[in-house]
Amino acid sequence: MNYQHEPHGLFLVVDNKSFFASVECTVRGLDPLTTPLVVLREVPHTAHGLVVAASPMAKKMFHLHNRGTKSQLPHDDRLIIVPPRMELYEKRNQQINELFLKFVGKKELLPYSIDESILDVSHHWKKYGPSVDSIVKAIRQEIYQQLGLITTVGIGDNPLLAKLALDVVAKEQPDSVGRLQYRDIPAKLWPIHPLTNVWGIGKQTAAKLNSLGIHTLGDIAHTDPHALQAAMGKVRGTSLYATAWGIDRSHLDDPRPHRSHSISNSHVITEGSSNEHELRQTLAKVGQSAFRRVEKQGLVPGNISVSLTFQDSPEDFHGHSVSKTRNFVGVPDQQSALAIAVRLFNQLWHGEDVRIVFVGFGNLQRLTSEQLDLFAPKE
Amino acid sequence: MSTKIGQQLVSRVNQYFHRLPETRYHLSVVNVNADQQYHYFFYIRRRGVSTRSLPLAAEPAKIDLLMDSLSIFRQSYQLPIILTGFSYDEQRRLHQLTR
Repeated sequence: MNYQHEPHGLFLVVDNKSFFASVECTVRGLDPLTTPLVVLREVPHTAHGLVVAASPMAKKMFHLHNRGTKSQLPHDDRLIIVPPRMELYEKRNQQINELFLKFVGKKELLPYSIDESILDVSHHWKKYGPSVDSIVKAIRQEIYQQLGLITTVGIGDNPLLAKLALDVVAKEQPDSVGRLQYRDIPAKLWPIHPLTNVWGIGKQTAAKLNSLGIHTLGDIAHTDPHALQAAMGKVRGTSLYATAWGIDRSHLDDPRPHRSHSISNSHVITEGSSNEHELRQTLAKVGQSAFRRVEKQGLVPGNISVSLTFQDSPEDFHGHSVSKTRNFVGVPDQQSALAIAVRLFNQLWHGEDVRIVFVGFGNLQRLTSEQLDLFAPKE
Repeated sequence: MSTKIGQQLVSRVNQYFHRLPETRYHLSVVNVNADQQYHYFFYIRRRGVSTRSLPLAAEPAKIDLLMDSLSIFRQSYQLPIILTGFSYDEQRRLHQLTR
């Protein structure tokens, strides 16, 4: 692959280590790295609960992980259990992004999730020292000094490589900073296995790729892109091929759709519900919210998925899920999209206790923009 | 504000304080610079059971407000109060309420 015409910037993806648990440590005056603490969402009046986040020390000392259950927690008074506080985490996320604006302009910052942001430092890093390491150090220090939070950073030639550097490389580094350039792709990206370790590849996609004999990013990179598109769909196939070659032509102030393969929303009913009225209302709310985000980004969905997670028993926090997907014919409006969501719900639900209602819109396309064409040089 | 926070502390601790055997309880007050607020937590520590740290309230970081809140709390509870993130002078001012 000739990368000469691809964007060569300097992008950072900054992630807050065990964000929720770290925030809870800092507001208690405790060290986020050395305190064993878990954020536990409990079901009122029962003995059940779900681990929302575990601090690095809780993971190390007690082999805990996020999404574990309360019954897996050790009976040890060194472990601190705290309830979740989303408002506090959102506030900290906002404060972190305000700190980033000391280093980059608004158009060079994309808050990606509650604990991750993407920064384009291409035009700023030189102010801080001879290498990008200086600006990374300054940003991490600022967040630590102001908020007491520890960050992990991925550095890349484009946002995709920065994200992959964060997920794949930074974890292995003693300083928690990972770097990926175009030239590193064959050595550092292609061997990754299993595929679910790669950003944007979920279990279902990985299973489908495995069934095609594709097990690594290297396999994707060396698959005929037209065959990949035929097997996985045009948008998904193109996106996977682009990921395997580390290509991302997006701008932070105008992210292209291939960076967001689907837009979804879900709602957790803590104690589960089999109340039809409540479930239908939840479905409508979740669907409306997801559809509004699709419209806001100027996208048109190619399909809709509804997924329900059933609570098999009060002790079972994870339950089992069922889902259905339908393709749209033409461009759907909110009403027609939600009508299909209701039809899918009717097919999936037969009176069970539901814990999670999920609605997702996939195969997103821009109505007016041209498709990403990997085979044409960038202008 | 401080009266309200003081009452809130008492009301929340009423829910959590059950005088269980072999159980230690304390109130923690943390001066969090990031928020310019004092955060209040109630700790329940029992041997062989994981420790609970329950958020009770938060209020603007003004020492006079804190003294009012702790005075109200002290009227109902004589539990230990642990201060974190306070200067030596502030701790000295609060000594009567936290000892």
